[in-house]
Amino acid sequence: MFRVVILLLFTNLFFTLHLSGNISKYINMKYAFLSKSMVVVLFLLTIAEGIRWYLSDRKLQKEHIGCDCHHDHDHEHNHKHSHEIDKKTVSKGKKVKRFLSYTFVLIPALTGVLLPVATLDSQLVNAKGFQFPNLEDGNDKYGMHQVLNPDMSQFLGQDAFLDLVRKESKSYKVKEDITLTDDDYLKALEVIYNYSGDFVGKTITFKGFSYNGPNLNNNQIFLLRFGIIHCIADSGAFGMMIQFPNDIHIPNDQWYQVTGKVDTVYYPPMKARIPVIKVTSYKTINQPKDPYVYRNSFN
Amino acid sequence: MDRLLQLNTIFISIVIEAIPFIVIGALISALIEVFVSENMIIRLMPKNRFLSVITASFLGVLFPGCECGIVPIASRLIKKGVAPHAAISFMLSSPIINPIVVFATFIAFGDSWTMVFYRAGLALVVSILVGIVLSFVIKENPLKENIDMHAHDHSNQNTKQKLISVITHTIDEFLSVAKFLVMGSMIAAAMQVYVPTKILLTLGDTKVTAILVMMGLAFILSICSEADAFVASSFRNSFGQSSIVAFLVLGPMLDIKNVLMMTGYFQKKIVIILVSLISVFVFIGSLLL
Repeated sequence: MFRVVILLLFTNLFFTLHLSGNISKYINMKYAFLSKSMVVVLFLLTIAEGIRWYLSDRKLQKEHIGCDCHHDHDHEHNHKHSHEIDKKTVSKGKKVKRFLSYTFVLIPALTGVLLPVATLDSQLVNAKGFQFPNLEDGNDKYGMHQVLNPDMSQFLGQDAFLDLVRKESKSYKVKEDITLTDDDYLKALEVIYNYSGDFVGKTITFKGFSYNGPNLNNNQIFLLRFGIIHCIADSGAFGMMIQFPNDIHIPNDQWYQVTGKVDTVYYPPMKARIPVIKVTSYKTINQPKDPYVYRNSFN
Repeated sequence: MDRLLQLNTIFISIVIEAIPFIVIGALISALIEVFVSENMIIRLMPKNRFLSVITASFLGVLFPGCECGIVPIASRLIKKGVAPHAAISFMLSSPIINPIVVFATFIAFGDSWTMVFYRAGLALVVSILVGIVLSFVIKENPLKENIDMHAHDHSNQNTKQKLISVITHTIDEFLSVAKFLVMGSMIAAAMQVYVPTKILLTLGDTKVTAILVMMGLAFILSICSEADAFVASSFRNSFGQSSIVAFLVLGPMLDIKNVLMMTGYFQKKIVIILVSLISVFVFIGSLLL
């Protein structure tokens, strides 16, 4: 009985997440077919387990209570024998243990549906370590900053990646005003970080949550968004430094939309010049409905 | 409260990512149980301990799965009469050298075979060595006694009965692995939320500490072997190649969730021996790279 409930609740977990669209907050949708097929597979298993429970309950009534190995087919003969021994040895303690372990298994099936999806915020940026890899290694200037600059070169290979960014950059370089949307957030950042020189003086508008990173002046702060590559467990925070004319005191995790002109600045922790947006206008916004950005296609 | 919700989110994300692979693993295990007879295995597997370990390690190529699905398969093989050391070698190599993981590694490291060769090569070496050592150490049945040991004879069932058996065994297997997955994912998620990776990363200065740190990360993060290459490649700039290889080989063999699963199937003594052997061999192996 308990087993049917577990299977049913897990089916429900996958079903609800897909129905509400919240699944996209847990995994990259490129892999959605796997979890989608789980709705069907787990449902079938639920039905099978339900039938098995129903049949065994009728057939062996009291003998089977508290025993979870129902191999009724063909083996009833020797099973009955072993169940009698089981019955004596399966003490109350064991039953409690089994009950507890089943309850334990139910945790994700319940919390996944009942609790709201938490949004990763600056506290997690801290936990994930806002650190910058050493860029002294000269031949690797397009190094990996899984913070700030979404470098996808490791998914594509260096040459293919540089080609891609070059191609992508064409559509951005001709524009004077660039607005980063949810869809092209990571792509645009890639281009801006790799060709920051070409973007100096252009106007950029983008959104993100505030993060007080290390080594910042009093008028500087980072504006970041979490980007999901595979699933939340391997997400990174990407965005740009913004700079106000006057000193600011902004706590972490405030959502802003800012517009400003691109410049570059040497940022010691990264040992590199990075783009900075000199803010001309800004407004506080509500956290977007989907706070995350994705890199689903490489085209 | 916010932290708890974040923990829950990461926890759910790991569970959801792993469940499809666990179901596939449970299904394969059930298929072995029903359709592979002990005679077949006895005919196929070499008797010699070295040959059987080597054969088993290379057979890992055939099973497209990750480290969560493989534990029940390995214990099923032992029940079916495969020598424990061979089954364990298979359990260690398979999550790394199977085609899906090889392909993911190839893509993650920029269409390059170098990392694939290092990763698969070291994985094979470690799984063969561990298997050989175990063949001298394991004297009795390494499986826990309380999991059902009676080998069922499914050979005289008709097709319909066999199909029913496959389904029921799949459910049994899935439910028994699930609790270890849940516990492991919970610990891994808690580590991600509460332990700053910064602390670990600052330790990785020398080659030796870098390897140890990456091994520790692989253990804690408990990422599915089908996905870990993408995470590993993001460490490429902060860590040298040898420590990345250590991460990629240790993770699929040992991590929080699959060690917990092993304790559900194998005797505690065997799990302790396994953990120490694998860690030592992976460490030495990546140091030599």
